[in-house]
Amino acid sequence: MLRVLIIDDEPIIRKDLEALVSRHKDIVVIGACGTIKEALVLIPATNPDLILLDIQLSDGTSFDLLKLLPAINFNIIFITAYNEYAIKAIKYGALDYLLKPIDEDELNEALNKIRSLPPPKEHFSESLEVTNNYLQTNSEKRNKIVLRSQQYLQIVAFDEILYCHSDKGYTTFFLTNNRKVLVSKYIKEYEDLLPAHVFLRPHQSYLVNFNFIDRFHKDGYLILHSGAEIPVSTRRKDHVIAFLTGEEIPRSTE
Amino acid sequence: MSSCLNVTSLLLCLALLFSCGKGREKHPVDKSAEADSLLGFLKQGVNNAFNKEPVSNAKHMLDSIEPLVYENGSPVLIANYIRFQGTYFVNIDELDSAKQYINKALNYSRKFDTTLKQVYASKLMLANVYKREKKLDSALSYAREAYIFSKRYDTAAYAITCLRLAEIYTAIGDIEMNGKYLLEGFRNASNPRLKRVLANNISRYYDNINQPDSALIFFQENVLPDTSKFGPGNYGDIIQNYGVLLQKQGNVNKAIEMYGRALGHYKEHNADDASMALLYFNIADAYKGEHNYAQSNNYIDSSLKYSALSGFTDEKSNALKTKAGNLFALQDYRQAYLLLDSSYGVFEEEVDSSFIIKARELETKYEVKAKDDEIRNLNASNASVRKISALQRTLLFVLVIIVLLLVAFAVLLYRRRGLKEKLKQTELEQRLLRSQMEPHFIFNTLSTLQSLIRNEEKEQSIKYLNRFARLLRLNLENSREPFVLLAREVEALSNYLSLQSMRFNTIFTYTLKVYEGYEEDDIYIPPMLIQPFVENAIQYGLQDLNEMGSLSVIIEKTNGTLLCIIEDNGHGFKEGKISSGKQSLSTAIIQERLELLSRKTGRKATLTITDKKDTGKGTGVIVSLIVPYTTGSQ
Repeated sequence: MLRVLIIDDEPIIRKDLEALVSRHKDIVVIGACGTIKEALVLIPATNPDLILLDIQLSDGTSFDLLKLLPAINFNIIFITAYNEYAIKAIKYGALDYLLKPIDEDELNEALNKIRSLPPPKEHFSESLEVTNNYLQTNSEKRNKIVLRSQQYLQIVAFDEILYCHSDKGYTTFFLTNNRKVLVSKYIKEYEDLLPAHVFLRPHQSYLVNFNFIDRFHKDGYLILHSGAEIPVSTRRKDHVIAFLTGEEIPRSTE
Repeated sequence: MSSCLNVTSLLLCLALLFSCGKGREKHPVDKSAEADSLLGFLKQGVNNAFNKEPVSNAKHMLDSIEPLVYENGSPVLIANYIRFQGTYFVNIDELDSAKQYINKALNYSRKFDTTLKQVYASKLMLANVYKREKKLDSALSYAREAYIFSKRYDTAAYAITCLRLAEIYTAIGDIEMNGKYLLEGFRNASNPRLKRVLANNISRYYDNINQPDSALIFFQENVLPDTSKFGPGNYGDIIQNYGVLLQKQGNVNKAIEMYGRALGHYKEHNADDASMALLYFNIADAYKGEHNYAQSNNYIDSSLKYSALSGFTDEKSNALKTKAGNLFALQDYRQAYLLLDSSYGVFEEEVDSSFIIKARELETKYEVKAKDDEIRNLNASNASVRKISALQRTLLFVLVIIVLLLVAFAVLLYRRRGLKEKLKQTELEQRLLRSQMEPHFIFNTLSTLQSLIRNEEKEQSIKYLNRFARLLRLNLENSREPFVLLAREVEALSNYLSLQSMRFNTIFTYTLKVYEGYEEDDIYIPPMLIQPFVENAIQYGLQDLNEMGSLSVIIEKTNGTLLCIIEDNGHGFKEGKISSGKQSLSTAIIQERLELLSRKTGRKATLTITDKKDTGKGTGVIVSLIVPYTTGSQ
């Protein structure tokens, strides 16, 4: 039985979410509230497995709430109507989130993910830490991202990533020390998340860390220090050359 | 012919002597006494060492007292000390080093010597060095400065300065001026040695201008009456010189007598070999004039003997020639020829070397002249360059001022333009902010609508959707204008309140009261001034209350302004909120818009927010806005 807590400042939405979640036989809603004040009482009292957590609460944000808790020993699905900044932070931590108005299919998918593969608690805390780090620091200090593979959460520093390769909605991260991580997300998402002045997209299917590029071969591929060869598409060749020679100031990540 | 051999170094020492010993009253007694004893050491010990080989002894003495001198700190002492260092280098003929020290002394004196005596002592010394370097222009100008000063203020240095000037004029070739300053110096000299030197120089001067009578008279009147004035031990020199003058006058007997006295004095005082050689030659010459050739030859031999001892050969060829002449007279022709031969040889040697020396002197003279010219040209061009650069500086100064003024002007203009730009910019920003209904609000509203539908509350859903559509339309229309009709703004507000009360129906109720007849009123206000406060009240004030929240909005018309009061019974802004950043941001934006409005309408727009707790009337917040409005005709 998955014990769920709903935290949203709007009574109608709380009621709606409760109705939606209750359709799952293996899930039970053990409580609902709308403020941080209430949540700080309710969470320790009910000890839930999962919280559906609206980011904007009447007396603060959900991140404020999480900071006030002594330990995070539950899963979270964040919910937000509109908050680009928070969503980006959540993505860095590879956490789950839903957008309002809530699509039932998306909710079910998120619930399924948690049901089948609840991420280890300690890793989840680390994910939250990466997200919080994103929210609290400026761009220079953000240097980590969480990759969520089928089996585990992997915290990776930007300078550990040699390059990414995408294939049919999956992205493989090639890391230093010959490690690899397969993530079920499109490469575009990581192009948006990773700093644009370090990561170069020479090809539809590749995202390369500039610091590991050894040279550019005229025949149209990049050679990394590791010896790996990354194709450069004809369309992006000029862009790649400009990037490598430092002529093009890449767009900012922010 | 003169008996003064080591004149230069002697005079240098005299110069130093004269500049010593002034201006010590200011020091405490012991310091002053110490300075005196050190000065005495310089004058006596070091000065004497300069006249003895090796001169380096003097240098060692100087170096050994250096710490004492600087520790004592007497400016007079230090200036003298530095000049003594210079004197050492003059003595070893390193004139550049000498100048360095003298200049150091000069600079030092300029700083610390209020009497200026040390300054001019340094200048006089510099003049001497320049003279030795054959830079006569510089020498003369320094010496003249010193002369003018010493004549007026420093009588002790007056005579020596005259002597210097006279020497420089000699070097220049102006014999008349030479004589003038020698006589002037002589009259004012009190130091015996200096007086003797001057006297000798004066007699030589008369000799040079072919007035041996005058020389004789000068001697008889000024020197002979009291030879002790010229220092003990110098009697021989004086009397010899007098003899030379007498001999020239043809008074050989008297001359020989004087030579005899001189010889006696020389022997008594162990005079040096060169002086002896010269005196013996003079005696021989006198005897030759008396046709006493044998006697003359005897003295010649003595002279030659002393010449050989002293290594001083100036008179050797003359002596040999004189001896040869004597032998001719004695009819010893063979010996005479032999002597003439060797005399000729010596003469050739002398002439040769003197030729070379003369040629060298000439050469250096021309070099020096060329250098002087060069320096003069340089000075001239420097002066013109200075003039030009002064002009340039003035021009630059004027230019800088003009540029500064221009910059200031530009900054002012820029600021004014910047202000205008900023006003425009803010207005644009405001419009942009207004035009965007907050996305968060939109999606939340849609989310609520979805929940209503999912909950199958059909009537509610339709009503909700209608309100939302109307609000959306009003928002799109209003936000395009800087001013909107009050009626429209009230309609938007009413729709917003209605939507929010449906969303939070269990949380709060509201009232909206606008003055009678506002629908017909042709009144315009900036859009979205009131709604943010309503939003804040619902979002932060009324959530999570123990009782039912209530919100009231009242709009009243006064003279040219609208008074809007938004009141709630919520937490107040001091309690219950962890995050209020957004709230204060929206307040700040409204504040800014109101300022803009004040500026535009010329009427004050104000915003006051009161926490009811502060006034003791329950809880909640009262926001009161005074908004100047415009009418349709405006």
